[in-house]
Amino acid sequence: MSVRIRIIFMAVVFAGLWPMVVASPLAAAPTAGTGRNCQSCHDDELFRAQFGGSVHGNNGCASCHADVGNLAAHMSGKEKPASVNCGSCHREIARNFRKNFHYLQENFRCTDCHRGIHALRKRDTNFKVAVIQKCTECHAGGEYVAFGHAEAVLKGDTDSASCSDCHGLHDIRTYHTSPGTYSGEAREFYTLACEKCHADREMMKRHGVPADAVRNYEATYHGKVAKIGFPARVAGCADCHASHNILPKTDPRSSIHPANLEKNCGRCHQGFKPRFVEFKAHPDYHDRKNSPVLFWAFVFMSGLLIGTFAFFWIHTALWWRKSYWEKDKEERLGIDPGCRPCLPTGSEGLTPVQRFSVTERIIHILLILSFMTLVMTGFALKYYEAPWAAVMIGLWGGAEWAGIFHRIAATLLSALFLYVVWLSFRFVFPRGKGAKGWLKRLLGPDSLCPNLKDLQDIAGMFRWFFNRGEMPKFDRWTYWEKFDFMAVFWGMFAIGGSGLLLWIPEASSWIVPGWVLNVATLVHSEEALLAALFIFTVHFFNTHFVPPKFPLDRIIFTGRYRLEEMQEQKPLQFERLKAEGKLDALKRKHPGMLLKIVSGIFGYACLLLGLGLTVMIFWAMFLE
Amino acid sequence: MSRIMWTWKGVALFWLFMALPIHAAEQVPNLLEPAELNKMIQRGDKVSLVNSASVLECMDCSIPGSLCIPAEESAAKVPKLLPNKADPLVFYCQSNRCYRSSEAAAMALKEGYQRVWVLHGGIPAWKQAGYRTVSPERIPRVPGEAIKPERLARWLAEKRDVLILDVREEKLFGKDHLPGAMNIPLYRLQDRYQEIPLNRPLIVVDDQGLQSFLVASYLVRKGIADVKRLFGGMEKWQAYIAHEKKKK
Repeated sequence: MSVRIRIIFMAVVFAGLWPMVVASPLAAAPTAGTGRNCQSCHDDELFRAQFGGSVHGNNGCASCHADVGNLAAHMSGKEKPASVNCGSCHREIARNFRKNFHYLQENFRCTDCHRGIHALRKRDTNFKVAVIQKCTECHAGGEYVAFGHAEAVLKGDTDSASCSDCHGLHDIRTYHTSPGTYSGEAREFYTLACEKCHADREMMKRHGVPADAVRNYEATYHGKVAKIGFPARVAGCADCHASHNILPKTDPRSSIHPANLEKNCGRCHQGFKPRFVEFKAHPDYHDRKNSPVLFWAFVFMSGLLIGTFAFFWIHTALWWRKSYWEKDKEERLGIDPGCRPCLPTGSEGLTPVQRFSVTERIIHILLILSFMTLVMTGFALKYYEAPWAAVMIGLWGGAEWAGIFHRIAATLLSALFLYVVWLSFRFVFPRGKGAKGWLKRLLGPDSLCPNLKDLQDIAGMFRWFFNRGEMPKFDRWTYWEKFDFMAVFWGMFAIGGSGLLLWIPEASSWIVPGWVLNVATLVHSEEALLAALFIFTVHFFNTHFVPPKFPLDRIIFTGRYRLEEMQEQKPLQFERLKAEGKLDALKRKHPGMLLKIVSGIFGYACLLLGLGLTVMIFWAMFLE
Repeated sequence: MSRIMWTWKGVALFWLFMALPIHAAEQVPNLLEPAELNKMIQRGDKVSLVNSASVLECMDCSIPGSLCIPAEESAAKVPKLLPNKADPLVFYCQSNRCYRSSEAAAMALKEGYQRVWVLHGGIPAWKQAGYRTVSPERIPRVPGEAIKPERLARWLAEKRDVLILDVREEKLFGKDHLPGAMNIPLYRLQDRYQEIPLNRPLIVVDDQGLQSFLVASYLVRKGIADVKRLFGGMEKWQAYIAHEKKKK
């Protein structure tokens, strides 16, 4: 193409484009009747050269300064344009900005950060870097970017967090600078901000950061209490890892470096021995290599649960099967299973005899109340993610009140336990007799201590389940009743001991090192699961749901059952007392109507509650 | 008999005396929620709004139709404010943690105004509820460094040549202030900013760190080039000092 042709071509193109230039948005601002436009007056370099290439360059002046209607009034200075409402286009941002701390407390406008709006261009840097550059114009001093997340962003790490990833961008919350008040709301907000990235296992693996930190934190008391809705009193991420310049524990400047842990934990916990800091804030009970003690504690507790339930659930299932098989047999033989034996009116067999004293009954009622309170308050925390957990906590008046009730119930249960220990001691070493004959009493028929006969009874019971013999004859206490009683001793050692250690963890550090609290957390939680499920399934079946007693045995409330029931259920005791002539001393009046009604209401309520809780526990376990 | 009667009378008089209030009951202004205030305005009630912050803050951001009467000047101006003392009067502050409006409102009650309220949460609550504000003379914000108490303490220990400008009101300044600080209360800053020497970098200190940005921006516009701010104000500084003492 020759030069002449090229010039002619360009002239044609220019001539064709000229009307478009005239009609461009900038030039199209108020010209009516004046032959002038905005640039006639606003003719400096900013508007003539820079605005066109800015991010808003495709908009006309009136797009933003829409209120300049009367050009003459505007030019004479009578009408000044109002401040621009960016939200008329940037609606979502404007909506968020109304929550922004800088807007609410310091009356910021868009242009305070987005300065030089008429020449505003997209930055060359990536978004995260741009955010850091913008925020540090004011929040300067180096401490925000010297190391940690911001340093990584500035070095090109696109996964790392910039200011806005934690604080929000246009909706920066109002509480983050509240001096001295790191409130529950703020702690929850920032913990969630950390979890947004740190729960991403793939991202964490990419950067050599522990991949299960969030999951393991949520398994601790800190994590569970925070998640159930009471973050105000427990550590969130930023409490231990600091807020800016977060570093790995290998770095001596890090707040979680071993040399700094005492000071770090000391910001919340006071009066502990240095070994307190051996507590693991992110314990991994499945990591055999790095946490062998926690791993074996987990294996032991799992084994205990599996072993106990394997035995007793099989025992229960076989017993149930046997009972229904028996019932079916009777029906086939034409025997009425509900009437065996039908005693004539006035028979001695219908006379009530005492099985539980008033003291024993009161102890059991208090035991039920404290146990149910502990289960309802404790399991809501254990399974904080379950849909029912928040409702349950709400019933107690919130997490703080649930915690208080849990501790009150624990104190009551401990007091009952100590009283029962005292009663047991007095049973073996009664006043006046001293130690004489203690072994005989300990292993005798009135004792709740297991003996050789119990082993024979277990074998006999299993033979009976399979029609290989008669049901064993029991004395005053059956082996499952003894197990229920003795389990409380182990349970109180495990749950009570761990609960006490966890109650005042700082004081516990004077007795045990910090990592024991990790074991205590596991033991407390798993033993509670064992106790709750055992009571609500095995104990409920053995004492209430077993066919002749179904659906409720009121004996623990009325203290009495019929002589014929004693003869059937505890034949050896019956014969022993008869031979000793002590039966008459046990005969009582019929329980009053009020006692029967109250016993029924309370008993059924507890049974229903227990079964309901069992469903909820299995539901939560299934969700896990 | 009469002795017994006198004893009983004595006992009764003693308890009556004990039950008497020590002070005459002080009237406390009621809190008014932003939605309630908006309803009053929409309804066309003759409600008078008073912004108790400094004039600079008041001109920077106010509820439409407000009067700017700094709390310090309310003793002089409030008594003559309304001819009819039964007309509603609402005081408010720039911050949700400000007590200036409560002080001014209590004074108005003492002056005999009958319907006096304090806007609950001040301007931030009003904004958060989505209601409009006006800025008759807004101070454009200028980016400036906010330094934390640790850093300022280091600078003071190094005897760095900086001037600390405390913009809190006189009584707060009198109670506690940074060593060598100069006090120009914010409500008088527009009249007295010329007193600030220009030969030293300036560090603005306020109560809670919520006003220093506005002050720094204002002073930059008035020709003071090097203005920094204490992050979190005196509240954060005092917390830092208390923490340091505890550590020792």
